[in-house]
Amino acid sequence: MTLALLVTVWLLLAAVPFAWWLTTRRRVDVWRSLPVPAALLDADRRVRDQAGPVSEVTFDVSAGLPARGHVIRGRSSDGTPIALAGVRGGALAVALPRDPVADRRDHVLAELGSRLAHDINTPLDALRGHLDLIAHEPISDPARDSVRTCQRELARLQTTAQDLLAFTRLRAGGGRRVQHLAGALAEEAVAALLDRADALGATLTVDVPSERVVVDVAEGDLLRALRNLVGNALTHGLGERRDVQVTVSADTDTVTFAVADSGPGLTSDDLARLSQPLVRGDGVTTTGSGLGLAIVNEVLAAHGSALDVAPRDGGGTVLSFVLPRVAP
Amino acid sequence: MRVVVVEDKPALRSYLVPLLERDGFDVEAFGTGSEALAAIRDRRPDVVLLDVGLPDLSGLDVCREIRRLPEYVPVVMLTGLDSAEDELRGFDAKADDYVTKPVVPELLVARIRALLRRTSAARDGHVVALGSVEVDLRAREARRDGAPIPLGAKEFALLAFLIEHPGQVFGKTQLLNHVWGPDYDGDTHAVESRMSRLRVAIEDNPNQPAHLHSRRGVGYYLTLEPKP
Repeated sequence: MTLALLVTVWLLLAAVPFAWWLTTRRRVDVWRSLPVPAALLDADRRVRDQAGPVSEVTFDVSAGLPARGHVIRGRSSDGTPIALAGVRGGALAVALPRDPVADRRDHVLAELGSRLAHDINTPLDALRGHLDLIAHEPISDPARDSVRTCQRELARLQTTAQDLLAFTRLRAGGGRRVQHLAGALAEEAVAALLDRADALGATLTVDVPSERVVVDVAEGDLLRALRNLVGNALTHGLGERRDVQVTVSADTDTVTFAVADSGPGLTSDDLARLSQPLVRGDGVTTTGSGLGLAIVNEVLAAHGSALDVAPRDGGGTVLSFVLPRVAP
Repeated sequence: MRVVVVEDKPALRSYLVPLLERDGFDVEAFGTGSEALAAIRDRRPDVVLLDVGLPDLSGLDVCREIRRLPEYVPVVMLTGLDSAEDELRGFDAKADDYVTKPVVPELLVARIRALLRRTSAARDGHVVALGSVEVDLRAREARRDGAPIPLGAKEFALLAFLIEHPGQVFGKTQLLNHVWGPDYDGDTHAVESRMSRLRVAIEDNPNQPAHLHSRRGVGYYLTLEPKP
């Protein structure tokens, strides 16, 4: 009897720190307890689990399992935020419940964004075309300057409208998956931005495996994500070296896409902040919809992946993500 | 060159028509699919610019009807970003090219011109001159001073692909995908070796190519006009 009482008290006491951790991070459902630690780690020192209510979660534990009270954040393929929480004796994977207020806000934003993008795309397209007609007429220099300003501003608006529409479409579920050569995707994204790189005096290169490497992706969505990453690197990450390199590398099971810039460097906190919809980089007021990285995150989440940030040797940032390689 | 524009929104139609006229096209514009089909059947334009969303028939239906005509009429489909990609991809009657709105005026004209070059080459045995070399896309033959240049099938296919996309840079994997096909199991060295052989065959000075260029760290592109 005394023993049972002691065990109960001990269990209650042991539960307090974990309960505290849980309550300080809103309500957290324990999703699935994982065995610790060696059995979790595969050759890449990543924690994988393919069972439970989500199809696959991958945590990067290259720096070891999280210490008690610390978490490594991940994301499931259905977009549920997942954390690997360090607890006494190991770690627990927990699914953070979606915040109903945030969910409702996302839903309203998605509806609004979609309607807005639909309703303004056609008039914007018409405005752009008609401005182009005016620009080709014999008009006075001040009028030409005004037309150029209108064209520039309009291009910005169109970018915002397109990003908004892309974002809301991704929220509603991405495109159909097809098998595609990984290198060709990276090359196409780079080729689309060569003119911009040239105009900025930047070196933009792409390095892909010479062997056949195939991924199963929503082609249009993944291309958009890659273009956004390269475009961001050109806009915010040139620094003095003005060098952006896209690399695709593969091992037997995975394919890594990496975009390395030569800018001032990003921390994982910066990345988390910039990945929020409508948040722009510090001091950035001229271009972009503030949806670029949020779109990347949506695309990657739909593919069961997530963006990783690391410093680049010699200065700059490497943003990368990993996809499963389709068996040859 | 005669082009039929099928676009239901007057605000878009009213700039597409003068835009194409400015570039020397003879333009007829329609707001519905059925009107457009009647005109296309009757007058066989050189190219059709077709919006995917129309009030009566869908652009896809119009495209299918155009494909049933005895004579081949090239189609450029104007698609919105919100067009269902699956629907387009899975559709049996393919357009020859797809241009996503918002339309960039110069780009649209360039794409229509490129399509016309491709289709007229296929139809009329169009010959493209690259310096002193003539490339006959229909006979699939390259000639210098009238004498055929020996080229392998893949070398010619690579050359023809680059001619159809002048000025556009392609990576080696992209070229492998387009020319060898997505199921080809070899590696990108195939592209490099074909490219150097093409240079030897086509260029006056393969070390300083005037038409078949490399873009360092990215891939290759072709210019129709010589570029130092």
